[in-house]
Amino acid sequence: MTSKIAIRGYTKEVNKKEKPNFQIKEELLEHKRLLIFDTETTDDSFQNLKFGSFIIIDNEKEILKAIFYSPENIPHNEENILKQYCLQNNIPLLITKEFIENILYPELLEVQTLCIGFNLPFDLSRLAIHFGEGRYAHKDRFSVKLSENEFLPRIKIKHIDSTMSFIGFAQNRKKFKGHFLDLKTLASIFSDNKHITLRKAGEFFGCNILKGETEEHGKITPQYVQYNLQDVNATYDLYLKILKHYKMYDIKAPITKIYSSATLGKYALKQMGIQPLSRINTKINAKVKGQLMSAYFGGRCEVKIRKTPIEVSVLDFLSMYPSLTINMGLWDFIISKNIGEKEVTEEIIKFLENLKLEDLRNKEIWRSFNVLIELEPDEDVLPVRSNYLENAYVLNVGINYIQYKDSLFYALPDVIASVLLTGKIPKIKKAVRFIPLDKQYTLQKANILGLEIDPNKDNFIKLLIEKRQEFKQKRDTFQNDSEDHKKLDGVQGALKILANSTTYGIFIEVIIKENSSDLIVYSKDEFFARQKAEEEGKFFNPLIAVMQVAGARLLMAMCERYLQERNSTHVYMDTDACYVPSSFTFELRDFFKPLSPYSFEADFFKIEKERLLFYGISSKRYVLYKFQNGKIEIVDYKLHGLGHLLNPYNNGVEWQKQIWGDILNLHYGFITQQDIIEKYSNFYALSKLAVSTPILYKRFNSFNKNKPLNEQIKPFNFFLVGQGNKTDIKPMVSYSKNAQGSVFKPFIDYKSGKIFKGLEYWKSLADTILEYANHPESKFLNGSQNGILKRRHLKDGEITVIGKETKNIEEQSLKVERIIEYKSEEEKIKKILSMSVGERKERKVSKSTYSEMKERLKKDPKNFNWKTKAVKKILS
Amino acid sequence: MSEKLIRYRANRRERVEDLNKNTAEIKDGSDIVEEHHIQSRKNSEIKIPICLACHNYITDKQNSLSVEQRKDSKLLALKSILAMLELTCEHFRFLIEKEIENDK
Repeated sequence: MTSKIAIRGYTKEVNKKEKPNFQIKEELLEHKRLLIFDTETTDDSFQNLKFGSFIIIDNEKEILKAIFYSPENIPHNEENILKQYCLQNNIPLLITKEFIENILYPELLEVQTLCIGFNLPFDLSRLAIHFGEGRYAHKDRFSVKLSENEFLPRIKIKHIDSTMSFIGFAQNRKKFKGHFLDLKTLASIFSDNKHITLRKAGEFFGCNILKGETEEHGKITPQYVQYNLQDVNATYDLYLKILKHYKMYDIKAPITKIYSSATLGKYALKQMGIQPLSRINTKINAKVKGQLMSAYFGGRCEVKIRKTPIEVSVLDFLSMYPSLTINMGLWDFIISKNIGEKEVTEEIIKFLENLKLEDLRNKEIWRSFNVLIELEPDEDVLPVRSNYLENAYVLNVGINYIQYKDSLFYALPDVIASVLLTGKIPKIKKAVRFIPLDKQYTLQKANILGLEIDPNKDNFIKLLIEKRQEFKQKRDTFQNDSEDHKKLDGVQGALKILANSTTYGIFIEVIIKENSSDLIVYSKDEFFARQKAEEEGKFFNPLIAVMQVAGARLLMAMCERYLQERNSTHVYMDTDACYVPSSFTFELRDFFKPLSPYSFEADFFKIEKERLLFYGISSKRYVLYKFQNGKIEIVDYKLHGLGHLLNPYNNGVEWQKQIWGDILNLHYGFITQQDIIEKYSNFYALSKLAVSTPILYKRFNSFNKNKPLNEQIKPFNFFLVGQGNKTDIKPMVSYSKNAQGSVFKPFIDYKSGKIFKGLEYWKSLADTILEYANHPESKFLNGSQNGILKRRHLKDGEITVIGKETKNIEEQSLKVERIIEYKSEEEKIKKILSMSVGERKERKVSKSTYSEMKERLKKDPKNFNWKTKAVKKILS
Repeated sequence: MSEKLIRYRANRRERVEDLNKNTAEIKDGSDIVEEHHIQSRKNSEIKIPICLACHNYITDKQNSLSVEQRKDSKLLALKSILAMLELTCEHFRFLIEKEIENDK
């Protein structure tokens, strides 16, 4: 079978303007003056501002508490209630314009007050009178106009994900970007919960004031105003608690600069004087970075025994990536002044020839695994990223047999895994070992989380994990509800966040640029292209990331090999966890014991769950359950691909658990397909999303045209999106409480922006569930069958170089493919000129357009316009 | 306007005054360092980081050239360098004066 093999690339812009290499010292601002505000909106799909309240705090003293409202969105009687409430309680009442021009801007611009909110982009966008989008490099941001006064700068909001946005003033005379703090970002980092609400955050941080509860939203009553005022107080209380928690980290960074746990990690490294790879002198140039990137694949995830209930135990590796960083000696690379290379081809071949599974239990040997290998795959079992199903838009990483006519790059742990699983040594062309040389002279002692760390002597990661264990043990000596227990639990949680954030994500971070530019793409080979470049993150170091993930896959392969030798197999695997038949639980745990890098007594491959039934459909789609008195009792489940769907019952029922219950009942024959159809056919598969990017906002152009702002769908408003029923149409409709009733309304097609109406365009929940239950594990050859799955054999695939694989909830439900495929111009020209009639018809390009395009290309390839719709279709 | 709002405004004014007092000191590198295009932005990408006061002085000197003269990048660069030398002289003169004052 010939297929597409995708490998990652590293890009470098040809004419990049180098920035001057001097650093501006960030000032540690202690924000003494705060403005905290919250808004309430209409409960229709337009979510217009009704009223809001704010408090201004200076040195922990309340300076002003007031309410503002939008008279145009409030009926007369409600306005009276508001006025009366303010009069009775002696609270100043302003209209929104007054609040913006006389309070908000003077505070934020002149006094440089910190603006705080929970889900701040939403609240700020409620105050807007106009929305625009940024230009050029900023076209992924909203430019929010709050006032007609031209001297008051707009606010720019760039949405990253549901918990993270960059907010700041647009260009202004003061050259001041403002101080904005979205507490949702910090609450989600410190609680490790992406879906955190103000109430849950308050409970998590032990706030004295929690978010209030109200029976009815949207109608102004004295209770509702009280509720809003309480929200503002709860937000302030949460800020104080989060600030206290943040100070515990001892990270010397302004709190407004903390956008994710990775930021914490970066600042921690900076505090220890650690220089990123881009600042040190190494042999790892762009070419080597490209080769390393081509060897980068995500963690291994697969269902090996599909749709066959089997009793399993779940084992997972203790802090997988931090542990591998220690075992493989990767910390030395992080603090090294120079990284050298050494060719070790013969040594590696000899090592592989004598390799036994038992040898890999010696953790000392793992330090020599930092080797990049160029090999010619010939039926070797290696990670391959491919679109395993025809016409599938998703690229998956599978561990499969691969044969390729030319050489590819792999990390040594992946090659060892292949030798373990096939018993044969691949055709190795060249092996290069990376060696850390000397320590950086900038290393300095630092105090982080109350621990004194000397990067010259201590292994930071090891110290964090060992201290965490210490704190955990101490915590367990106290009672669950006691203050000491809570405090110690907070510290151990912080240690966990820091250990994870300094070991993995930051080393593979790349930022996709918004505009295309001339670039050299380095990968297996190198070529010129004109596409969007990927800029290195601050601590980008592909060597560390590649070795860590390859090491993780080697541990999984060891587990697989161990079971193979005993005529058994694993059932499911996911990055650091392995689901194995119950009878092997203890021997596997003991087998990996010698690999623990820590000084404390704990299992390296620890038992998480024991003796449960497993039923898996494909990667991240499985359920763990048991039979209790003849009834199915679900213990744990993963519902990848359906998790973003709205609860059709609109209540607190765990409906996702119900879906798994139904799938299991269907498997055991307790119910039939007809029962599922009857149960769910009246419901539709809907997801709730926010209009978070200018691209999404543009889709509502046809709906918003010629309407006043308060009848428009605005940025950060919610909308519903359907799954699309067998047609190319993807329905989107404004959000309403009765989500299931929205399918009867006219909707906008995501792709064309046109308005349609009809139930036939919406996919029913019954169809979605039945389709889900039959989802194939496509990375395997017989992925749609039940039982043990077999590996695919990929032969002479077509190599494509790709960029960052982004997958967030919004893209998942909209099925927007954003992976960049880097192509050289010669490759593109060849593709256009050699297109067959069938392929052209498939891409819906007419014969005349195509022949014209070909002529233009032959005549003047240098000035050929690559941006036309037809060219994009042909190249897709 | 309610009494609370009046009190608030007075408080804000105080804070702004405090802030202006503090900003007289050097606070943040981004306020004082500017990238100066020695041959003007239109003619060349070459730029050097200099302090904001120097940047204003040199830009003024460059702007004293006529529109036609400003198209000549060499002349612009020469003007920049001359202005920089003037500033350096001024700086030394200032230091010497200070030194004499201290001696007295």
